[in-house]
Amino acid sequence: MKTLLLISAREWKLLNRNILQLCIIVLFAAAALYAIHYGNAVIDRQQETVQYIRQQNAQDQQRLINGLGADTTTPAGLAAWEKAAYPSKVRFFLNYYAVNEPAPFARLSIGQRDVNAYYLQLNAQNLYLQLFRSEIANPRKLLAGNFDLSFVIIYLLPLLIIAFTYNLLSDEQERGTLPLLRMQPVPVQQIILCKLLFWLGITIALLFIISCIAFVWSGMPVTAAGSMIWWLLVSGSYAGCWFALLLLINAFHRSSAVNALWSLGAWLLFLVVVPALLNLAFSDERQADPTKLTDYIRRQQGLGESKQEKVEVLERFYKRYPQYRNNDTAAAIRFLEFQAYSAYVTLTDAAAKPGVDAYYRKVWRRQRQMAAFNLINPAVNTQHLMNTLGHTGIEDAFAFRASISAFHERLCHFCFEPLFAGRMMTKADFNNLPVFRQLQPSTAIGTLLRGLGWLWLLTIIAAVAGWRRLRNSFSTPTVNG
Amino acid sequence: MISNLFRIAMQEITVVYRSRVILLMAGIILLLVLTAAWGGYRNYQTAKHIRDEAKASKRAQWLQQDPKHPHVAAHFGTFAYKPKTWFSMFDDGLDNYAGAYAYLEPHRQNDFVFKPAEGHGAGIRFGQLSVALVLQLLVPLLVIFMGFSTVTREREQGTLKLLFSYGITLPAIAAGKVIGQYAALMLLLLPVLTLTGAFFVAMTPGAGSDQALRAWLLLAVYAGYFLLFTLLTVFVSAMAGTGGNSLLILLTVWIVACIIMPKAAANIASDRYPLPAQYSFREGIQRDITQGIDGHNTSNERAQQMEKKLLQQYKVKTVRELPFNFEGYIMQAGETYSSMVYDKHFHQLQHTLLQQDRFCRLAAIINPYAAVQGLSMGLAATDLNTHIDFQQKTETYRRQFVQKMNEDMMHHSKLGDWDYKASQALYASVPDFQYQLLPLKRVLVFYRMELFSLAALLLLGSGIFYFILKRVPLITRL
Repeated sequence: MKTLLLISAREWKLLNRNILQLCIIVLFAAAALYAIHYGNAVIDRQQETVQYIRQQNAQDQQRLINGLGADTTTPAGLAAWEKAAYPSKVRFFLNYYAVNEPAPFARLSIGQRDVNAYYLQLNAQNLYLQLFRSEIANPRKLLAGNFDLSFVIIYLLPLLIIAFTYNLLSDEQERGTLPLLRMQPVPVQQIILCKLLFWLGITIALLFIISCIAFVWSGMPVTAAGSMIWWLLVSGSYAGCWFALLLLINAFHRSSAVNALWSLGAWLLFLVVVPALLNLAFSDERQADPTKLTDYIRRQQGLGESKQEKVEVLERFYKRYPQYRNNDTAAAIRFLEFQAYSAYVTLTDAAAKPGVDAYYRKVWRRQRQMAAFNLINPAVNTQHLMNTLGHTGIEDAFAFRASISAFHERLCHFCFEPLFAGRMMTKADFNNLPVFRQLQPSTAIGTLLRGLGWLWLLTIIAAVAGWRRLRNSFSTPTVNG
Repeated sequence: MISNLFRIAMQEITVVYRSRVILLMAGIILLLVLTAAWGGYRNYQTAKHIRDEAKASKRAQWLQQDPKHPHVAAHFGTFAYKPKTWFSMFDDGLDNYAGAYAYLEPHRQNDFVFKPAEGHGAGIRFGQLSVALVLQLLVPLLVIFMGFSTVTREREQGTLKLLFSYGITLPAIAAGKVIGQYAALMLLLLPVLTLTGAFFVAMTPGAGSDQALRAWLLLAVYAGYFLLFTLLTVFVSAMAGTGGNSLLILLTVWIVACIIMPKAAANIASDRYPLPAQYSFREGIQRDITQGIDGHNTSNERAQQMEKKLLQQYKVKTVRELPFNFEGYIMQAGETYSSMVYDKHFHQLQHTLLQQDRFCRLAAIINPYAAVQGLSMGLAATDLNTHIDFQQKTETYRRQFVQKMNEDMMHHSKLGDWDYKASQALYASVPDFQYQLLPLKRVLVFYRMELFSLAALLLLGSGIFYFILKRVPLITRL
């Protein structure tokens, strides 16, 4: 402990004198601040959009509902009343919005939120004609990616760590101070470790300060305290992993230039080469062919005109959804045409469902395969963990889509119940408008623990291998120095 | 003088090829090029196969649909599939982030959906390997590692003094080293790139008449890019005190130019020129359309005005007496009006997209990475410009086929006669959609700034380095 303090005090003095290192820290902090601002700007804009949509949608819904009390003696009034009173019109004209609310940590890790849709207009028409929409985006910007805090931590922090520690041992060697160190009562490997721990401390402190600024600036609610701790844990573990790797690289006792080369090589490997290779391997469209979905986003040929066909469609529908069969035939016959059309639309969706589900199963399977490789890569693993905290990963996009499907069923039921009962909509119906509920992916804690486990495993392997190598090279007198 | 240059250059090549670390790095990079080429080829083949098949099947569905009312047939619609370009094997550009399919139907200009990136997790944002990615990101690093110590080493070993004593000046030494380094690099790269090109050509039929020209241009652009990095590396090596400093400076330049700047530029651009939300965008279009003619409803004000005008023009009392189906006329008039509205809004949107793109491209004035990235995507036809062009051409096609259907309804059916059925001959009279790439000339005009800035950076760079190296006092050269 005393050694650690002694060495830390010396390193602190050196740091204060080293303008280049101070510059790098300042630049890093500036990049982090910009990233926090950027993440806030992106999510603020999304929230503004969502708020505006909510407001407009509530007004539109209210306007439609007010039609129930319209003066039906005027043509306009009659049209308004019909829109609100006929269940067949409500299923077409009453629009809802499903919104994937940004979680507080989406501001720090935007993840796939800019690629996937985060809100969707829905009514009780065909689900699959409505589901595959996306937000307007510039593909070049999507390619470049987001300059959010997760980017700064995942890409730039390792560079900072490399700049601090690539020459812990080689520098002493090159300055000729290594023989002096070896004469000290403290073993050299301990001195090196203390230096490393000093820089680890500086890095963790920097991370802590930046994260706290981000928490305050982004207005994190107190309820997100758990996520804050996870965030600190994940980013701290990622930093720790790089320190362990740097310890290993230093332990090879090569020149500063070679160390720099190896460190940068590791950075390139984890952040560029390995993910790029994996993405190439898993980008074959045969693995999940979206052209199969294009059949479901097309308007179908339509229902036949004859009564016979309509009755047939209804029979198929009732077999599948017996709850809508009405024994009061006089009431049921009232909306026969609209019932048949709704039944037809519902059956079309039901026929499309296996195909759509199969596509997403394939996407999910590919995702699982890639995830297995990505766990070994600390960079992608950390990005995944941060996206998990921000609820901005592909799992959340899947959960959103599942929530939409569930919501759509409720929307349909809302209109189908009166439609098949053969009655008009009432004020009481509209008092129970379906409300969208977002399902959260349930495995968040498990995902976090598994990801962290892999991060720590890599850290421990690198640290132990580095430490052993360092110790061995200094316990034998054959080492030059 | 020339022989000195030649001798220094030859010496450089020997030194580079003697280093096992550099040969190892080069080997890895070349292996990555070949892997990327193979992967690019596989993705191209699959996507082409899948899209060609889907396109053919949708075309067959269109042609073989039952006889039905032309407007109903138009609503059945068809699809546009963005073809994967031949050069996407080399540079897949924006392919992962741009939707490739759109549903073409009346009244509505639909978005291109199914961006491949939607089906991916956190990993996809780290980038996908392509030959272009290796050349843009990794080869500059190879250049840096090959050359960061080329002058500092001579200084440290004292051989620089020896060269001066022969009367060779520092700019001459640097020039020799640039030639040597560059030759060493190209001797490694050219065979692999030739092999890649030959592989592509042998495995898949060509991409059109300007394929060779595009390939040569790509080669020239990348060759210029590597030369710039070589110049910079040798210059920094000559100016820096030690090899370590030189490496640090060069790596910083690389990280700023290739990692930080492109992302920052794209982010600032999206802040500066914000895109509308899909909701507001569609809301604006809807507002503009409903203020005009509703294609399905003949009873609103505009339709009445039109009716009045037609009745006057044809000197008849009711629309039934018109020599054509009034509904068909109104349908097409609605289409024309909505096209006008779509033009207004989509042009605005595309303008904003291009403004953002231009902002990113401005970085090319000082950042050769941005210049090469843009040019490479542009020549490979995987850039934003091509994407917008594809959207516009699809939209033109959509309008033509809807117009054809409406006109058939107008001239061959009676008012209110929704039982009229068009024949399959009508479907066949709508040509299949074939996308023609933007001609090379237009690509070059679009990316002229990048071309100029690469050339200017090369010329200015050489000039400035020469003058600075010439003026460095002798004492610091040693």
